[in-house]
Amino acid sequence: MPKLTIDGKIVEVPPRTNLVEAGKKVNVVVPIYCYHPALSVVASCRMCQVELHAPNQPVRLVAACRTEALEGMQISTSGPDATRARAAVLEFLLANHPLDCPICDKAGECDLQDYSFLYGSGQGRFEEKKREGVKHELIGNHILLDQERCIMCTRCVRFMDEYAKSPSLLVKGRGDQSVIATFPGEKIQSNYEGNLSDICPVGALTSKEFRFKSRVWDLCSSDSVCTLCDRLCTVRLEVKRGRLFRVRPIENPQVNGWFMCDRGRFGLLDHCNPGERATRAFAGASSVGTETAILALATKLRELRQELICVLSARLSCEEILLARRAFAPFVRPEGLLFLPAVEEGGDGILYTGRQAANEAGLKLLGIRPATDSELRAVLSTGGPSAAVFFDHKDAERAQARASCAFLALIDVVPRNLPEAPLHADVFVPGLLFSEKEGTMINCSAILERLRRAQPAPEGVAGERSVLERLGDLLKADRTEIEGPDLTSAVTRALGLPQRTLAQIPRLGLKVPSSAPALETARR
Amino acid sequence: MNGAQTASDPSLAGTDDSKVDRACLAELSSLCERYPIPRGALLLILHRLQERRGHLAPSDLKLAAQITTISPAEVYSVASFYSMFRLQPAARFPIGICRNISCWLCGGQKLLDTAREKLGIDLGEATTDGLFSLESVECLGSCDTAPVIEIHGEYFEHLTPSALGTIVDRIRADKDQSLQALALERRTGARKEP
Amino acid sequence: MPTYLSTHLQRRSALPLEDALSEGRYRTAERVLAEKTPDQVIEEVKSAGLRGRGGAWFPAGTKWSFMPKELKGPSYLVVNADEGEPGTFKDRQIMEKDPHLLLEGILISAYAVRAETTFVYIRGEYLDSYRAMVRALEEARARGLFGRNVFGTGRNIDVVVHRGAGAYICGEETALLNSLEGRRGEPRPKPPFPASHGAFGRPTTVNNVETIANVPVILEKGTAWYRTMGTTQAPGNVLFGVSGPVNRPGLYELPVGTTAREILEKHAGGMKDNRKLKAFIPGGASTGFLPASMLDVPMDPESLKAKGTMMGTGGLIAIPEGVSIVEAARVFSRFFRHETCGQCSPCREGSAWSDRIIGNFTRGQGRRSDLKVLQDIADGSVRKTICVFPEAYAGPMLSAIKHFRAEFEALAKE
Repeated sequence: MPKLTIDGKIVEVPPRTNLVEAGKKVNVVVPIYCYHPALSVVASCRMCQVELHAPNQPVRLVAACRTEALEGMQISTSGPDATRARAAVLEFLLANHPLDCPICDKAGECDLQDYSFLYGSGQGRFEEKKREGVKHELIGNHILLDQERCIMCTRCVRFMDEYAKSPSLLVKGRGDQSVIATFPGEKIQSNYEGNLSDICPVGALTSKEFRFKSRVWDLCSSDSVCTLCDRLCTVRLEVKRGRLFRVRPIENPQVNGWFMCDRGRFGLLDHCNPGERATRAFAGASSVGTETAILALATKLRELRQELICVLSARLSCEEILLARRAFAPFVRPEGLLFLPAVEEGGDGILYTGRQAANEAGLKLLGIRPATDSELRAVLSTGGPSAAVFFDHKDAERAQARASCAFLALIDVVPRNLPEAPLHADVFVPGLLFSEKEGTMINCSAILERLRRAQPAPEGVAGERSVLERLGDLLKADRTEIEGPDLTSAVTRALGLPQRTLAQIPRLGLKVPSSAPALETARR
Repeated sequence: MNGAQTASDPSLAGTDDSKVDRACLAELSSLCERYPIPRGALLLILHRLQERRGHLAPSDLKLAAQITTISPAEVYSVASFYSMFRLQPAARFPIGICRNISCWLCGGQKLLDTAREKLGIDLGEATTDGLFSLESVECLGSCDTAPVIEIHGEYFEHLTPSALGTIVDRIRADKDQSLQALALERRTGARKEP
Repeated sequence: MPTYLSTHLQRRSALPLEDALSEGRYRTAERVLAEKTPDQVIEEVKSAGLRGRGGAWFPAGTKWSFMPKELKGPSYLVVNADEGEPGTFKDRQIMEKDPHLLLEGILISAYAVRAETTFVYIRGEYLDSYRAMVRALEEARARGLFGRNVFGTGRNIDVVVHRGAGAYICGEETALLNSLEGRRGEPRPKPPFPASHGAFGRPTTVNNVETIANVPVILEKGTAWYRTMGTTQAPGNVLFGVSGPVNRPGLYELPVGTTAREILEKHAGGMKDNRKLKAFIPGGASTGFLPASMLDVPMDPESLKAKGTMMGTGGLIAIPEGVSIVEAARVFSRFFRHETCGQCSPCREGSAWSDRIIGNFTRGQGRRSDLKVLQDIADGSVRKTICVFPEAYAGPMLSAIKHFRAEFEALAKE
């Protein structure tokens, strides 16, 4: 493991570490544009030049991104040569760069702004007419290209080729006439297009969904996961006045690397900003308060003698699954506590798994039994009149539950605001979106990940967690399983992990051992 | 929503635009065999395709992509890098006038002015009959015979303004003649130039 | 004074194989392949002190010695015939008039570096050179001089003639290699160097046409003979080019170290129409301007370096009185702006910005402060990029300002 000195700090790194990564280990920031850890190295922006000092030798400038950290190296990022070289690069890049900051979405998170402030000379000397190019042209389904702002780092070209496996961006031309372009008449068709606006260091690639919508410093972020497939990419949800404005991936080596897919990135914008929503509870045909609805449900459950079918959903957090199990397990038929696994659509081989079911692994590891659609339909329609509680209205529709069930309860987010209970359920309680919850979910690789609330719950909607806990208490369910500083600690216990509260779950997740202890209460 | 790989679209090989006959396709594919990987032949293939109609259309680029097994985007990027490849329809006889130092010192500017006048066009323009266009080119490596122009790779050297006029007239008079022969004729002095 | 490069360069067309053979061409190659090992050839070329004639003057034998001796796959020789340096036209003449001189050089050099295939990368504009080399190669192959089992030695040595497509930067050896691979001609960051990772990922040596053309005579007549010409540090002859308004522009084969004055006045007949020399470019565009007062400089790498310039390709360009150096500088800045590959931020922007500035001066709209900016553009890009292109565009502009500053100031508006 070579040991070297960067800005006076000693750092030891694995072999074949470049100087940029070596610097990160000791909190030395080497500014970069063209370098990206996920992509091939081109060393063309020249921003990462650092001084290499060797005894009895003149100081040499090297590109940190492609220089291997070797034993005994003496590196300075702040010496006079490096400082001048960086300031020169910035002056060159700013020469033709348009003064778009006041109208550019990237402002506030722009590497050109930030580095100019930190390393630039503060005064430009370019007095010629600036180069002109295409502005805000849609080059795919989401991304707008501004050739004038582009600093030709070529991250976008390499990203589409190497990561998205869809070589649709290219450098056209040569020299100062070079621009980013697509093949004539063609557009990007990729599930990873949205990442382009993240990796572009400047505002040359921006998303039309976000264009002019907000300044970035007005957004409130919460770290959560994308729930549109069971990869559960860690994401930052950026919200303003309760509305989700933007979703960006969080770097997570064991889950999603640096990126996320467009289904998630843009799908969440629709998912978390439903136009309409059912926000009132129902019992019988009447709209009632939440407590009334819970009481109605509790009353019905006490009448049943283990006849209930309880269909849980992968949209539920682990905490909610635990609470549901606690509340319903005493009332379900044998094999009656189940879930419907998502259809395997086939993933894209990169991040999207093709299973549109967020916490399916959570359901499995917490002992909930998978059943098929036809099994469920059969169970609901044979035997006597059935009683069922569903947590996803689409599951209930597919199972034709209303027709088969004498009693139907639904606890779900329903994006319609109607005067009657959705599905004409006997009891309906409105649910919460994942972005309105705190809790945990488990992804397809058994990583336990954290959700933090990003949006406020709609007025009057208490949410699954509070409803299920209340229901369980009303039904005098045992509290042992759910005891602890918080519900997450109960979840970790149930999964066979050392106990942790929600705050103690690492930001990037925690691997769950593949066999969780058998849960007696779940089986009858 | 996976990325569409247009390079592998088999329907592109026989698009009307490209009208590539089997012999040509075989010739182009055989060029690939000279190199350790097929894309080594790309520049030769692009030269060959450009010879057919004077420029490289998108269908030509897609064909080259197919033969060399790389993406059309990559081929387009490569073609756009090199000055000799024309990605827009060109005049039948693009006249390249060297604008570099030795030609400039030896009357290159005057030659350019003559060309502009004689043809009635400026640099970057084509005559209305589509016959001639004017481009500036960089040093052609014939500095001792400055000033020099080239048309489709044939060099016309020691070019006086009137000699330029003669060449234009002769090409106009017989558009199908061999430029190579015309250039050789000048070089060997078989005909006296005014 | 012996000559060995220019014997047939006055011809109207290429010396055919039959004539080349009767002149003794390929005899040396045959003897070398029969009697010497590749390492012995390398040693001979090393001790002869042959330096690359492409502009960098790097010792050829040393470059060859970097190639692997034990092969775990193909190695390549690549001949750099991309001759794009303005004022340079020597390699073209060799290919078009005496291709078998080059081909015999290739045969010996490929043998020395253990390359079965040699790629000759000819700039796209050199159509006649391409035709001549293709024809000469066909002739030579038909005679068994190239191909399998050359001279019955069991060695396979063959050549692929390749074309560029108009990009000066492809004269840079790693850009050339990228171009050869069917890519954009963008230089590669170094290390690795071509000897470890070159064409198609294989060990490769890249040599200029004229360098290779020196090889047969070195092997034929030996180091001692070769070193009677030129200087101690740079032996041999050079095909000096002379262009501009001189009486006898052309190629002159003369020893390294001949003075610029002798080349210009004695051989090229001095300035046309009795004009006075104002300035000259010693070795091709990137070597920049020297005032006429420096005409006695010996044309060898060391002497020119001492004068703050370079030997380059030996393409001397004469600039007479009455020519504006500012406009001449503009000719170059426009050229370099057009030819930068554009990868590196400083070069892409710096070459264009300096062209804009010099253009302002040519229109009498220069800013005096921009003279400092030109220096800063050079400082911000020289030795700060992937390749040495900034050195090339800095040469003319900085030397123009250094030796002819008054002309710039006269064209400043403020």
